[in-house]
Amino acid sequence: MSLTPPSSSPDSVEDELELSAVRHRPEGLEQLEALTRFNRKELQILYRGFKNECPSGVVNEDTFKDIYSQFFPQGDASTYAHFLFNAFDTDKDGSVSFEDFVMGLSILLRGSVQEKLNWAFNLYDINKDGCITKEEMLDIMKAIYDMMGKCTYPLLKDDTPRQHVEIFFQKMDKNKDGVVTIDEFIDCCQNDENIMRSMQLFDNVI
Amino acid sequence: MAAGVAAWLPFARAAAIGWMPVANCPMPVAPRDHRKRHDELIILNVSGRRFQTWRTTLDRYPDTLLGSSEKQFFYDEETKEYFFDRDPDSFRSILNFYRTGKLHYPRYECISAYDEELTFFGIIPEIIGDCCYEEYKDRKRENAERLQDDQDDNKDCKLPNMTYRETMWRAFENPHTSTMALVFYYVTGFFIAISVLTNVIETVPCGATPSQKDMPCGERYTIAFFCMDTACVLIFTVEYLMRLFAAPSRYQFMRSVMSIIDVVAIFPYYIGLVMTDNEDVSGAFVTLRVFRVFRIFKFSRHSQGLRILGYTLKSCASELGFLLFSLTMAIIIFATVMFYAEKGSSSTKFTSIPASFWYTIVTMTTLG
Repeated sequence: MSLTPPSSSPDSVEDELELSAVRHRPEGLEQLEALTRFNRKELQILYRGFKNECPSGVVNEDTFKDIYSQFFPQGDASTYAHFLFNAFDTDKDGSVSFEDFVMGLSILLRGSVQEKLNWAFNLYDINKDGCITKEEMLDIMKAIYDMMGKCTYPLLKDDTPRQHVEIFFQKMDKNKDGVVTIDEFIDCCQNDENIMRSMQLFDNVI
Repeated sequence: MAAGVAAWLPFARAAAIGWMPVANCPMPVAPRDHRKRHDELIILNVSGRRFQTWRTTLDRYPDTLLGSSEKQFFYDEETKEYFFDRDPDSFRSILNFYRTGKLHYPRYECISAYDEELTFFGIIPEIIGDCCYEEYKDRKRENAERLQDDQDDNKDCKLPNMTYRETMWRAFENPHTSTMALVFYYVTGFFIAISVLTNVIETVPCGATPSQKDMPCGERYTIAFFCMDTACVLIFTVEYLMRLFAAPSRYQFMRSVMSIIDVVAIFPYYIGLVMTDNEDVSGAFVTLRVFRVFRIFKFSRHSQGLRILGYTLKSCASELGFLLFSLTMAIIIFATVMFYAEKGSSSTKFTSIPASFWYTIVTMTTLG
């Protein structure tokens, strides 16, 4: 008298095989052209670079961290890369496919200032609840300082991130309720000349 | 930075957006890439087989032939391609190096051909990836040894103006260079054999006269054996002195294994001459005669196989040493166990731990 369902081992083995050989083919070139603000040639160049480093077609978090830390060897870029990864991975499936990657880049390099600020807010808002708390900001700040490593001038003290967060909140938090919402953020950034000027820097990077 | 990661530079720059709203001062401007030009396909014609790749792929390693302007020397205007008159099979690995950043060494490839290709294209072999580096190093070492052997064989050319001493040394080291050397070689070989034979026959009991008990031949024909021994030792001494005279570096020669064997072979005779009448040390004298058996090792000069055996033992000396060490450990452990196990009973042979060593050794080597 067997009440157990027939063993599904052949299926699970297949599933495992599929999982281990994760391959992802992106949407066609035309669709991506429509979704992003890159032209064909740029998409081709981007895809070739992407596929070269990640032949399986998706980036998982470890590869992401690895690539990013090669650009910043002097510090520990893994925490910041973690936050970046979550910001790029819009569908939250644990891996960044080429579409996610190229759509993120499209906003960052070719988007309007509003879109860029929106993206930055999304990066800071770790739990994606619509507002940045002091703890979230402190995490981000520590990650950025970690990435700089010990080679900063002047040399940073241990509570510099906390002080920096205080300054940030003083500037951004208009109604002093302890959190920064998206409107407060965008408002404040648009009124700040330095930030506006920095945003223009991205326009020619590809 | 790995070659492919450079393609992610726009991403790294874009990710800097995270710092902007929190930065206290404006960000610096990114450097512009002035050399930007459209990527184009390059055709590399290697002995008729056409390889194509992007120009930027080759530009990744600017200190190689293909990455620098040196390839312009091979440019063919009519066909608009770069022509190299080299092996297309080896070229595959070289081009893959540009593509993936890893240089592989294919096993079927001859090591010297591969080295030549690398030298031609300006790639240093040290960057061979870990996966193939062991194989490459092994083959290279074998090749170097083979070349060394070839060189040694080729030293037979007659060198002009060699001094008498140098001729003698060459004659000793390579018997087939002249007839005298060959004669010398065979004569010494013959006398080594005679010497070993006499040592053996000395101890055989010869047919005795009915009145006396069986005596070994050595004691019956003392004079004859003594003359044989003297003759052999004379020949060996002369040989040793001649080699010492002819050696280019006498100190080096005296430290070499073969000369030590020579000395050990003729020493007992001289010591025997000196202390013939001293009864107290005659026991030690007899032990010294055992050293005469080392004359058999003099055959190493005559047999390449024996020398190879010697080199083999030398090269695995550490492994043999470890074997000895682990055996010793096991012997000590089991001897201790046996001693304490039998401590209770009175009529036991294991009176102390060293006394149980013999039992343990005999059992472990399965002699019983």
